Amino acid sequence: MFFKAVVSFKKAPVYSRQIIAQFVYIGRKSFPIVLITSTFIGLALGVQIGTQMNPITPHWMEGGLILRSMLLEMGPIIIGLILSGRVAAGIAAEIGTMKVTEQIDALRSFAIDPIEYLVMPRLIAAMFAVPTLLVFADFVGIFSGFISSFFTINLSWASFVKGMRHDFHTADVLTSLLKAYIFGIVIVIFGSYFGFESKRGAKGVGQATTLAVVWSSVDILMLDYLISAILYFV
Amino acid sequence: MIKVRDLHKSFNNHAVLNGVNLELLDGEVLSIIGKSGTGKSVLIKSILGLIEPDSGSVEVDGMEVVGMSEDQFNAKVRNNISIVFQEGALWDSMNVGENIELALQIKKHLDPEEREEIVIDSLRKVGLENIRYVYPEELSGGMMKRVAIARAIATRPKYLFYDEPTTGLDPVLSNVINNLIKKLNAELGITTLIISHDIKGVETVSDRVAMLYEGKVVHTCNAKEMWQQENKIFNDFIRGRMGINEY
Ligand SMILES: Nc1ncnc2c1ncn2[C@@H]1O[C@H](COP(=O)(O)OP(=O)(O)O)[C@@H](O)[C@H]1O
Ligand SMILES: [Mg+2]
Repeated sequence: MFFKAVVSFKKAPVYSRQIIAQFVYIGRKSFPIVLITSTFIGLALGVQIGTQMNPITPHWMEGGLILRSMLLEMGPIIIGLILSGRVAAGIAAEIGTMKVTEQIDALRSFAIDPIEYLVMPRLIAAMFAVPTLLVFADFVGIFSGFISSFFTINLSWASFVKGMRHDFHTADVLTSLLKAYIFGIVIVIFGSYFGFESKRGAKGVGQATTLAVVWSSVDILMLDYLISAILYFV
Repeated sequence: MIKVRDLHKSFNNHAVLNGVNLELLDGEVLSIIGKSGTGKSVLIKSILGLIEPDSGSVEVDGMEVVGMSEDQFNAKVRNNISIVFQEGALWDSMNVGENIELALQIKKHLDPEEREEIVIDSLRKVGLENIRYVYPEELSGGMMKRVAIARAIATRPKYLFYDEPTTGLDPVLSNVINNLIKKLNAELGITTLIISHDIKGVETVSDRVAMLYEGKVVHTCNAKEMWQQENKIFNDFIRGRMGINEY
């Protein structure tokens, strides 16, 4: 399905309207929840790392620790899991409903390829929307990390920035984006796959939705580890 | 003409179609009757390649279609046959006009003005010129079916299949739909296949009637003579005497 969708990318201009609609759905409507979750993860990171700073660790290191935790793990994982819950579930429910109400059959009966029409626009939209959301989540998370470090160990902005400078690597940013990009693909593919496989009836659609969330979450966590491990070893 | 010969299809070892033989003659209205769950929908979907039969043959205008690829079905079969699905199966993220426009993508050579004209004309033919910008969720059951019919005729098919067009409608609306089917058959010359439970409707609308029972067509006759048949299964079914145990 993924490859079929990618092959149909060449027809993307025909479906620009669908792509934009999906971008709005995946991107803008996920914005509030991403804002809330990344704020609280950042706050929690600040407290957690702050309390582990002992007298011989220079406090300014906290900036770098928060930066890297957020970029490499927390940001991508929050985005991945939140969007599994929201977007993969939504896609599975929508495509599943179309399947059981014969709307997919209707597409095929008019010679419209359901993968090209339903999956491809979502895939392209996710490839742009998910990394964008990630950049946003990273910024929010790091900043709220600073706020809570300030209240936990009274860290100043200057030391926080010093820590970040010390530990900043362009490769980390790229890793973060790479993860978001791949997670976006996973979310759309699992959501679509279980939607298309949905059994008849409302129960079938419910099951499809659950399966989509479970499988995309699990896969995201496994891929997260794999990507981290591979990039560490190369 | 569409010729179905010895068509078989099973799902999970349960034989749904078990050697169906059927002919749909050019210009006629043929109704297929039979209990729910006997595979009437599976049969029409097999003809369009939406379901792949296990064995047998389907010829559309002399061309064997069983075993065709999705692209071949699109190019050679689906541009000539439209289905009006049971619940309409309108695409619910789009308004009525957009539903018809999307279906028209199968006709690649049309320019925008022609498309526009066809959208309006198709809606006029089903008596719903004013609902172009309405979304499916706002439509009543009868209107939904009529929009589905408008979408199906927009592509100017040679053949039109209706999957239970009057199921779930009150008698007045059923009449409206039946008259519409008859009118489209007569005015546009569309060869029509109807799946139906509505025996009275079948009698008035169809030229011929075929009954599907336990995976086979067990009886075919002229609609005008349907009350004078000898076949017991057919008689019991149209008179509503089929035992409750058989459901
Ligand atoms: N895609 C499918 N997968 C599994 N079973 C199916 C599928 N489509 C139809 N069936 C089964 O085939 C039988 C006939 O279905 P159908 O053709 O819808 O009956 P009807 O005559 O009421 O239209 C039913 O038992 C149904 O459960
Ligand atoms: Mg049916």
